[in-house]
Amino acid sequence: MPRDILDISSNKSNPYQRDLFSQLKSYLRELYRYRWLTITVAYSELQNSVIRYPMRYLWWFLEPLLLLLCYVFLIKVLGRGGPRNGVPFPLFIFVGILPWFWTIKCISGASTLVSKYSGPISQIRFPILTLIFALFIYQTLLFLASLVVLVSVLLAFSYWPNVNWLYWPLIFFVHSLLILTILPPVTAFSVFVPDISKFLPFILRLWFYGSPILWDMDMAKSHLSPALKTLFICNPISFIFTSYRDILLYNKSPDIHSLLCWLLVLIFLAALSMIFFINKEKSFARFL
Amino acid sequence: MSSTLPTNKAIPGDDPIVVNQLGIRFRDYGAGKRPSLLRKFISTIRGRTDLFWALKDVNFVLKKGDVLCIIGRNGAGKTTLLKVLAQIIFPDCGMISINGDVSAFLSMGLGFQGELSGYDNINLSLSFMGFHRDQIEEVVPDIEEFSRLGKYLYAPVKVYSAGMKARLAFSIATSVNPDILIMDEVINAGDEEFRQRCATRISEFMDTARAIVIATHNMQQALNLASKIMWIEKGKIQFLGDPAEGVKLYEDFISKIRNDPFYDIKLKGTQ
Repeated sequence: MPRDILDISSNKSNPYQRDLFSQLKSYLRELYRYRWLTITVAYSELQNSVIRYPMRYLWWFLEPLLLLLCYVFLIKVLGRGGPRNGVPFPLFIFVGILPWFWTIKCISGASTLVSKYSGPISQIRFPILTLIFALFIYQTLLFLASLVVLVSVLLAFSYWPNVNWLYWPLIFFVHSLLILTILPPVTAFSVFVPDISKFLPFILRLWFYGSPILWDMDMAKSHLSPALKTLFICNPISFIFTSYRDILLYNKSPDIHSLLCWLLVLIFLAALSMIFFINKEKSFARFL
Repeated sequence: MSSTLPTNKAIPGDDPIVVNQLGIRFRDYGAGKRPSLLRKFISTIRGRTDLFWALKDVNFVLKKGDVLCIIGRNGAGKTTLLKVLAQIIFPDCGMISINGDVSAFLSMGLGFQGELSGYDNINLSLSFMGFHRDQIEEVVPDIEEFSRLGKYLYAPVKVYSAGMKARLAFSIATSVNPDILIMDEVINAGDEEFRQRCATRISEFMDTARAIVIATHNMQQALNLASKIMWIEKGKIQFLGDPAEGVKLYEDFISKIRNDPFYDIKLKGTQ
């Protein structure tokens, strides 16, 4: 039986269907079909990250611990930074720096993702969004491993689990959505505008200083002009990191109303970002 | 330059591959034309474009059981055509109808990961081809048997020789039973014994596959395998038909171009 032009077989989507809805539907079907690819790539990334080192998976826990020790050294030895709202400064930073490293590792990984997998992309057709999901899963597993260190440190400082810790999955979900919103355009732009890889470190550094990692929102509110204050509040990382600190350090529940608002906004933005990527990924092979 | 979008108009028939008025444009990197904002700006002001047609007005139909060998010089457009057939690159104009599952084998391995073992790379490569865990488990014994890499499949691929990588890559690509098989030069890899086994496997595919498309520079191989020859030069089909006639025309062209470097300017082309 003849099939439509430019397809292809019954189990693959037609890349030339113009109707956006049916294009998305068939793309989602293909994403499901390639679910094993997502798992395999994430697993191979995890293996690749430790296979060369004799200490292997121990590095998942050593890296965050060494990071903490660096900040302890910075604060204790150089004598900068007193307690923040009664919280020891290294701990205050540690709660913020771990999610931050998760975020930037995902974004940096996205900027090199297509060149890293240029072999398969230029030789075979598959939904490239699977690679973004694989990158996200791989970095998220590393982040979750680092939480073991974080919880151990919290317990060592006598910060015991409380009912507010139950909000953590919700904050984590909103944070994941933010990352999944950023990754597709960064990946796509890294193909079409390679200069993005030069800009990215500066943009991330600016974002680092503009986010409550080394400082908190109370400081921003007291020191900044109203315009800058609005800018800082519009930074979704500010809200997410403040929420992490509220539940883990201050035994406070996060601002649920704002959290849900961000959740809805980010669901919408993540969907838009992925639709943009699906539209663009067809031309990646031409640029490789 | 405006591009013509492909249409969704159906081409009747049940032929494995139907290509109609296919055209592909690429950015011209010739004469040091690396992409830059300044170059783009100047081109826009002058109303010019850095694009050129890598393939234009390509028309052909492959019937069930056809083995098409594509010949032509480097840069003629062979690999581009294979990539379009494998749906990796999408055309700027024209229509393609492909009926059946396609397996493409365009270079040595789907980007093997050097640190990972042969088995891990089998898993990864087959996952890129859309296989699920159960399906991978089914074909792994065949890959083990055909590649004959034995215990080396447990070793990281970075320690493999080029021939071993070729064995693994070919074994993975041909472990599936695609309706349409697309290959680029790759059966010239490996030692003599492996090349013979590759040729045998290709022959087996000829019995089962709906169509095979191979790009090659080996004229003897083309004559042995092909039911049709396509000679591409400058992005256009110069000849399509009987293998013996096609090879003779191409070899005549090569000998003429050796004597007269400007001979190819007289050929019909797109560039």
